[in-house]
Amino acid sequence: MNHVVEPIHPSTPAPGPPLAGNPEKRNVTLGLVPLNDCAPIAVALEKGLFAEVGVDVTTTREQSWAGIRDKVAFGLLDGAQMLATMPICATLGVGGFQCDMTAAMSLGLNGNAITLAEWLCEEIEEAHGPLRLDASNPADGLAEVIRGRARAGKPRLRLGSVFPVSTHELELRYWLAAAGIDPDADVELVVVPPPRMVEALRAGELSGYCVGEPWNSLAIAEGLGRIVVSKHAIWNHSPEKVLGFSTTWAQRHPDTVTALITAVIQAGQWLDEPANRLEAAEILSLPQYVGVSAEHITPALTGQLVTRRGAAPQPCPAFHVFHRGLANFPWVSHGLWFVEQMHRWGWLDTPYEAQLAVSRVFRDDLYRQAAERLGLGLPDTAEKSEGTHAAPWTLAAATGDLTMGADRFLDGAAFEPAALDLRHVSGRHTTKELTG
Amino acid sequence: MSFVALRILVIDEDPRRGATLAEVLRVTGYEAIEWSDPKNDLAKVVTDAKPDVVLINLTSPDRDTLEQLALMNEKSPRPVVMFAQDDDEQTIASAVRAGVSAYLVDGLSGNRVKPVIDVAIAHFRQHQAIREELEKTRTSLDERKHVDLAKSLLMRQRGIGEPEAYALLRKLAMDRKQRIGQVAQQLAAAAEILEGVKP
Repeated sequence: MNHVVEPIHPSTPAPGPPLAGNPEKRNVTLGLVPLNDCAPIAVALEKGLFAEVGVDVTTTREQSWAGIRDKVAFGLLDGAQMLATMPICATLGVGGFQCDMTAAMSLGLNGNAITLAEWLCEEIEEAHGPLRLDASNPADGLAEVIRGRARAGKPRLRLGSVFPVSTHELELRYWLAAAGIDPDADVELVVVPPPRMVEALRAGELSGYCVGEPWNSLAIAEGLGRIVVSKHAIWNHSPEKVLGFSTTWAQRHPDTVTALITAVIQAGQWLDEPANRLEAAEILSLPQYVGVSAEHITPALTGQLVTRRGAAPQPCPAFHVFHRGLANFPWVSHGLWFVEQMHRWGWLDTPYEAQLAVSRVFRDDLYRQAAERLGLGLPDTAEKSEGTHAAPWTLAAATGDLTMGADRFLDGAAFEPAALDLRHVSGRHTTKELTG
Repeated sequence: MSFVALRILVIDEDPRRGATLAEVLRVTGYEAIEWSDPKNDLAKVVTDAKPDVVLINLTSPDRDTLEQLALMNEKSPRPVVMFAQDDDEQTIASAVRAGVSAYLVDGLSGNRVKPVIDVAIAHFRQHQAIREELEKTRTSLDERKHVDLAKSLLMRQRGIGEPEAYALLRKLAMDRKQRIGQVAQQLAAAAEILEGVKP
């Protein structure tokens, strides 16, 4: 492939007041995972945006989320694309050892989907009628199939996600539970790295999975399964990846962090121009990023999702959101929702500590510094209610009105962060509730 | 100290390197199982092999699967030990301090493997101790339940009071050189067979 990437700002403008202070470290290594939503980092590098803020960035393509976390914790990476849940878990020591981590900005919203094996989709259609993407809740049909299998004494269905305490695992559980399926009892949930998902579906080891793109579209291209729901449909404009650092590193290199945020915000702005998405797919297809052919990256990236082999593309314009609607703002309320869900599934030993940790981890102050330099609008606080807007809405702010995306949950639930109070609840496997 | 050889599962995409490590481990006195085939189901391998320790590369794609197994299976502790090629001493030191993982640099020889395995074993023993403590608590709860049941059986059958029933149990235990809980359990089991009394 001979794709030549043109810089966004062809001739670097004469340096006026520097956009990002004086980076303490000018050679920075960032880890990423082969997924469409590593795009902001890839674009910031390929389009010369990191260079413009005076940081020489090298990226490494990592094989596992645990590897990303450990390498950041031990200083083998300076920072990384991380699951939005990961800095919270690392800070609390949930599912691994403890290391204080910082989420400096959000890399974007949405970007995942749930794919079910073709044979399973056919069984669901027999039991429940035709499957449509983003239909109110295709899991209802799945629930019928699961009950039927239990009655017939067949083994539980095995579904995959990418990491134990991941955004994927949480949305898969949310989707199942909304249809009355107990994710711990009615199905078997296993972890499979994204690049192996398709293979596992082909081998029949999995009956479905929740994963980021392009690892759904690749299964569709082979006719192995169908995309039955997008992350956006489970929770509109929901948080997915963040730019994460160990807190020690972020504290030692404040200007470098601001510089990196500045560059990645600009990459997000470029990515949210629809005209640029095809070029972005070409960039992502490079071996150091996703490393699969652009034809599989394009459908989700351009919001023209093919949910079944041979079917006409379905418009899904919010499948990937990289900047608009304050997509880069690290909302503390998003972190609190994760904590509420981790508590729901009984993963937290100390739920209240987790609640308190979120505002230490999601550092909107770091984002604000960079956004102010770029003259971007900012919300007055770092918390907002979720699930209360089914359509775009306006957030009044001191910097001027901000246009926000819908934030509906598929079951119509609402999440009010200010009402979350985990002070007197007990932890770990004692509080699981299917409704809620 | 009597020592049952720990079972160590070695996960390495590079089968030759994995085999070398496994060989070093065997020479050092451990039972080593190798796994390098990504087509095989790792979850099943771990479930079947029941290793005490898993050695896996820092960068292996199987890390995430293994993390989930550890999260889901608290009752079978399998500390994860990882090794990486280009890490400097400081990285290794901070990794070891972090407690969950010990790191082993490539270029494997017996004396380099030993300290790493020692760390892993220390973690393993610690987990084991916590587990045994839990087991003991559970047993004593079970025993108390059995004693209560045996007492009420004796009281009913012999028409005696509670102190007498307890004294009888204690005498039986002393005669048989068993714990009172064990005697009570046998009595309850016998009653279940003879009279259909459920414990």
